[in-house]
Amino acid sequence: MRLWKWQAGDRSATQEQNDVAMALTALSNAAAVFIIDTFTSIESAVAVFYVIVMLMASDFLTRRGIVAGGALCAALCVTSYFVSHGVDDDLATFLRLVGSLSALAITTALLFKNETSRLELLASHNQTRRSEYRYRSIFQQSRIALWEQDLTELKTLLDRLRADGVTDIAKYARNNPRFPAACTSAIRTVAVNEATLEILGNITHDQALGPIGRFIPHDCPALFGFVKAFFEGQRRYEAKGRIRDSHGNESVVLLAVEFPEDQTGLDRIVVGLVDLTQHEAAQATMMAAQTELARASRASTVGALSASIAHELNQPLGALLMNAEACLRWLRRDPPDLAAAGKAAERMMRDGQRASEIVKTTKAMLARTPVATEKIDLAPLVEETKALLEYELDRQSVSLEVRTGAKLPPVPAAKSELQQVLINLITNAMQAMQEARSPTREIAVKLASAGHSHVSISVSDTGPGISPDSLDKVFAPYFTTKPAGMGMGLAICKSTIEARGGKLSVRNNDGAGATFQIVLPVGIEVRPKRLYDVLQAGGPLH
Amino acid sequence: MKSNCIIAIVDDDEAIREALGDVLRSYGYESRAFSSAEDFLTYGERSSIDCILLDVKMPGLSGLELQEILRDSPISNRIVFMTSHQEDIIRDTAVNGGACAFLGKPVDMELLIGLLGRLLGNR
Repeated sequence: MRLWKWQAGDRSATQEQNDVAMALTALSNAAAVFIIDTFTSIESAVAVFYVIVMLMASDFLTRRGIVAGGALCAALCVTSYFVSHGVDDDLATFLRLVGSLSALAITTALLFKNETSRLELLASHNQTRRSEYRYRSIFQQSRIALWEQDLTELKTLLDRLRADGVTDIAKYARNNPRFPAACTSAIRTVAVNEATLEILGNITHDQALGPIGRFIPHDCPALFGFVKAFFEGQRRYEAKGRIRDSHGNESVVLLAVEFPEDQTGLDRIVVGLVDLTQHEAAQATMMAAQTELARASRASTVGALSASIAHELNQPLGALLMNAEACLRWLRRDPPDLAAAGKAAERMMRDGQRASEIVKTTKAMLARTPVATEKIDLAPLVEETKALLEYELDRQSVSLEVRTGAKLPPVPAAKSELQQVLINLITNAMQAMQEARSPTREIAVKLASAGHSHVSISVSDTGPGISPDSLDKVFAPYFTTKPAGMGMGLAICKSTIEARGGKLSVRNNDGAGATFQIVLPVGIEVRPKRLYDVLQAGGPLH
Repeated sequence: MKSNCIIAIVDDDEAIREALGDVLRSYGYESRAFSSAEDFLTYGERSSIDCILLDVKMPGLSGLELQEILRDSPISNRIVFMTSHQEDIIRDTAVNGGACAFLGKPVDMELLIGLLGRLLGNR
């Protein structure tokens, strides 16, 4: 049973000496009180002074020690009473004894309680320390870049704006071009982990501290999103952003933060960052490969089909031409050989019939291929397409703006088809601007409704536009201005859109560049027609 | 008849054989039609043929194989190929084998008649 509060090693040498001195003092005090109480006849409750002994002893006694000390003092007190007064003493003396014992009991109880609270406090403190230790080790060892940011200054800045009557932070930011800079100097980094130092270009911990302006470009979309989320009191924020390392290289990161509910602890907000650069590059490569594959397989399908149809048709058409020549020659004879001419004409009919059969068979074959229709929301489709092309857009320094107006009804089409058309139009725009070395390289994809029953998607660029004599030929099969082009891209886009009951048109902008516009019907289910039906619109077979 | 020349037409497509034969007749040439290289080779009066209009791709022996078989006969340098497969390698093989022309289908009649005139006209 331990009575002494401190274990070996708990206290320094000086403290131990003090503890021992205190213990001796307490013991000698107790002895003094006992002697005075027992052997003098002072008419007062001398035993109350045991309380002082207990107060001194509580410094070095455990809870059990305190109880034992209290019991010992009480025993001494009672012993003195019997030794000095005997059993049959007067009531006053007896009451003094009771008073002393009560004071002792209360003091012991209070000391006991005090020690209990102290132990509880100690335990809770230890738990906090362990928790802090766990947090630190996660913070340091995480492969995710973690930053501790001090947002108090940012809060002051935003509170001032709010006091000035700013409610729409987006509008305020648009009107104040210096706002992002103010934000990046108001957000200060107070600690970062190893992973962060790597992302920032292997700098030292101290170099990473301070305002974040050096590492966050002012036009980083996540910066404004972060400030806006904080301003509006959102609990969480997650977005894709860009950071610039100490060598000036930018990387794409995913940023995530959770703001405290009650705005306390703003001096240490943890922000997590994941480097997405490699992931983005891999995705872009995959996308490019997919696009290339789709293009190649489309081109090869079209190529193989064209070659086989061309060969099939060549025979009857060749025969037909020869028969026509023979027919004419028989007719132009002097005298005309009508019988021979008639036979040649009959063969011409037969050849024509044969060519027509080939066309019919091809059409029937193409019509058998099913086309799936789904309801497509255009805004997400355009955003997704933009994301797919993001790497290529970045690489060619082309900015792509998506303007979605009011919510549009979904259109019945095949998603992959529509996406291929968009990719085709956007890629064409990028290539046109690249080849012409256009100083401004902007693409705008605009969604709007066109009348009650149609929606329009327009793709505008700031490239060289289309020369007036090419304007009505761009959709014709085999028309191309590219050295290695097959001239089928826009032709297929047009027939794809037309198969859905829509229209694809082009015009030059008033300023620079051209605009391709897709108009699609909404709501009405259009029985999809195949490529071939459209090229041969009005043919005898459907 | 312009002359007593006989032109062989070797093509697996009947429409082509008929049309070509009739055009040649209108120009005064006599022709014999063969639906395959084998047909031509089994023709008894082969020696009367002065010129061959030969398709490249046919079931059985191809035009190029027939040319190879006829390599040592006097007719080997009076073969006119007609084809819709205008690959360089086929054309080179045909021309190296002594063919006097290699025409794409549909055949340009003016070209063919001019060629036949130079080839057979002086007979």
